[in-house]
Amino acid sequence: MSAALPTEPLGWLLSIIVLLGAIPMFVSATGHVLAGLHRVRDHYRQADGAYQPRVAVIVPAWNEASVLEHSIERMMALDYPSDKLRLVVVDDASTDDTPQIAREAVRRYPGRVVHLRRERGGQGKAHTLNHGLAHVLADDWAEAVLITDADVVFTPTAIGRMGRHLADPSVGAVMGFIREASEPAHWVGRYVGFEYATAQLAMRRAQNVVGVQGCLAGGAQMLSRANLEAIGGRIDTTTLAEDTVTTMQTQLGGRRVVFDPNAECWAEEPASLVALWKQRLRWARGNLQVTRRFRSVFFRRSNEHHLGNWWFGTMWFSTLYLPAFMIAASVALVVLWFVDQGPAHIAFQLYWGLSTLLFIFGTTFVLLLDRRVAYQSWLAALTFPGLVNLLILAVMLAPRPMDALAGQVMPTFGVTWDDRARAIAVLLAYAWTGAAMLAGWLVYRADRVAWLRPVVPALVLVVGFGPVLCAVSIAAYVAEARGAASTWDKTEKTGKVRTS
Amino acid sequence: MSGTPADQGHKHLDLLTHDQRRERSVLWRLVLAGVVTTAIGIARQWWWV
Repeated sequence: MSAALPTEPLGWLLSIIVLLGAIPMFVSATGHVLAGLHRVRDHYRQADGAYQPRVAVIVPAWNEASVLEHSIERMMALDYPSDKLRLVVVDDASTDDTPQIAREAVRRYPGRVVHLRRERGGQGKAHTLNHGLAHVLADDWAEAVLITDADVVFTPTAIGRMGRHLADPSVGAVMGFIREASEPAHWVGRYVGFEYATAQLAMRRAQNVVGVQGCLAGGAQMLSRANLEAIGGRIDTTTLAEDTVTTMQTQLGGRRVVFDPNAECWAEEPASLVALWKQRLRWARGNLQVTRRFRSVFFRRSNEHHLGNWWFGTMWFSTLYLPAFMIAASVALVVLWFVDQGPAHIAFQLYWGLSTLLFIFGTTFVLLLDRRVAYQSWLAALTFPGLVNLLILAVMLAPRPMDALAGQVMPTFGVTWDDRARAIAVLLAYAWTGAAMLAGWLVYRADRVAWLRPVVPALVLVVGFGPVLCAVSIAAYVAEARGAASTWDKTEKTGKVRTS
Repeated sequence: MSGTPADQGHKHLDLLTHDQRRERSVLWRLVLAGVVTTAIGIARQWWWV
């Protein structure tokens, strides 16, 4: 097939749609470059290493008996002045041993642990947090509030590393790095570990450089008292992404949100696709809700905040609508294949050529960023897009050797590797970008069937973890379009987190 | 937290210095990733196209 420029308007339009589908990749690449410049624009110059605010830690807990005691013990043993750290466990009408564990902690650490119980719960994390905030803000002891989850384990210096940034009154909130640390390690966790490194260690550094953050980490966010009071003294309860709303409100109020990549804590992540789907569906729906609510701030310059920054807005929407970009590019390529194969060839080469380069660049950079992630998740990183996508990338990278290989392998399957076979293979490659998400959804469905569950890891290896995450986003679009009820589905945890 | 206030102050400053140094290394990791990508791109053009 020979490359050629489009000769008709439809050909040009379809080619442009394919190239627009590459926007998320550009944003990702520029994000990595910005992350590399973090040293120039980090907040360490303005932080005061000696500043240690009085911190009230709010731990919402609904049936967290398996994790709570360990988390409390770790929190009480942190490298932070004991007279400046208090724990408020908000028991959201738990029906397991959570209340007993909390009461025992109150007895063991008098004056340092408080147990609040809600007799009527189930309304979601934001409501539970507000119950705790009302208690914390009732007196003037707390200078900062740390919001976390019951299963999150903080490294000894994490709270000190977060608190030092609040010495700068222009900072309203700080978040740490949440490392995936499920024990024992599981295959979902390895993918999530790499994903977290990309999204946090790379992209949140990039957002620090640009001066705006998209979302506070749900399990490791410290807010100054001044900021909390400025945003109303409570957490928003109208969306499924209360952390994102808090982030927006903080920055709209003229205060910065800072990410400290060295303030590390460990968290258990879902061990199955079904559990992960539940968690990610909630996040994706929440982000769609937040986008609707704050749509007027994007791409609009302001003297008070940087939420209107063009890179940030492009990053926000290209992440939120990544599946739409990919499906549009895939459909445009397939239609172009039927309309005019010359331009289709060029568009495909450009789109997938860029994908190949950025995959190599991005994966290498993120694995270099963190040794532990590299050691534990290198295979997940390499296979994140899935073996089918990797095959396409391999063809882009080494077309001659791959064509020669196909010429030897395909006849064993009864396929003559001629121009017709090549054309069909190309068409399938064009379609796969979009079809991968359907495959991702089918793999999730397979995880709901007991006898299929053992092969799900292999299916994810073929289809790709990335396409599964894209399928969740599409499910979120559908749920929001249908106006489905916003219910808070708790992520089930076993309480086993690596401690070293 | 153990140690005198002076010890604690040194420790906090040490942490801050350590973290600032660590951020300097991020740029070198970015450069290395760029070098690896470029090398693979050159290899592609020379041998595999």
